[in-house]
Amino acid sequence: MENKNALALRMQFEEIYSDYVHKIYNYVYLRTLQRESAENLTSAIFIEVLQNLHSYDSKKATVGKWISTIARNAVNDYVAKKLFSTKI
Amino acid sequence: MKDEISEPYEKLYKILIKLADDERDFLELRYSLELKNQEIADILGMNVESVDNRYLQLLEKCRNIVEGNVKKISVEREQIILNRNAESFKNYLADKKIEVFEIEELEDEQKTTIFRSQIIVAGQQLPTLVILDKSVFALIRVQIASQVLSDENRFALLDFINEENFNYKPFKFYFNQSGTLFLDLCMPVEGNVSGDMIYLMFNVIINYLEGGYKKIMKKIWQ
Repeated sequence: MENKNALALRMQFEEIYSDYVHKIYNYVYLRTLQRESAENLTSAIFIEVLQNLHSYDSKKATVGKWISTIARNAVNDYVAKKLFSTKI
Repeated sequence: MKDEISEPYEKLYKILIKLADDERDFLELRYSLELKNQEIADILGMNVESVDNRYLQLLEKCRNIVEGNVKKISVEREQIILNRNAESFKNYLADKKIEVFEIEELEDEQKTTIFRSQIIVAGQQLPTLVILDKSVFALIRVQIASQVLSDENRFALLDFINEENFNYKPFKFYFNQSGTLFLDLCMPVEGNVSGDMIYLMFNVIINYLEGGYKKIMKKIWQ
């Protein structure tokens, strides 16, 4: 049975997911300009959100700023890997 | 798989594909993620005024793309890129009221800007440069000792420098053609140079030289 904290985190995640999934997808897609990559990255971003939600501190940043930072880092990593894997 | 683009997004796609990744990043933080200017400034390590200015520059660029004014765009892009790293560090120095650098802007292809100063180690003033250009790297260069490599000490010094390079990963030593010993620290910069990061790297260099400088000079004069 889920304890109170786990339940609260799950509900918080569902709320964040519902509020941000389209925004995050659009952000990722319009940076990568590739649909498949955008879908994969969006999934990875929300997995990271879920894994780090317990450490999110609303006094330090809004949810929007927090999740944007996660998304931005994920896309930057993807772009960097793509750049270094491109044969010159 | 070829990406399919729905009709309303086709025009947007045609604009965005002509922007650099960091430019798309900036616009999408605002439009897709609906962040406020202060939040964008925090994430990108800029001040709000710079965010406003960059936003206006990018809107103008998008307008030019729509109008097909490609030449103007490339000039504008060149100006944005060339100014960003150096301008960012200049702003940092101004904000912190740091006045120890002489600034020289070169007219080369990379639009290099050199910030000249010196660090003092063991009572010696070592000429120090911060070199910023259009590339994604910032370079800190310290002149350790001038024209010290000779036929007599060449083998011993190169061996010693190779060992130092092996032991200290953040920076590298080398001799130029006239036998002057330099220390170079190269760091990637993402979009805008972080002045704090450059100063942190200065501390790394100074901490090393506090102990290492005498060791190097001893080896040179042996």
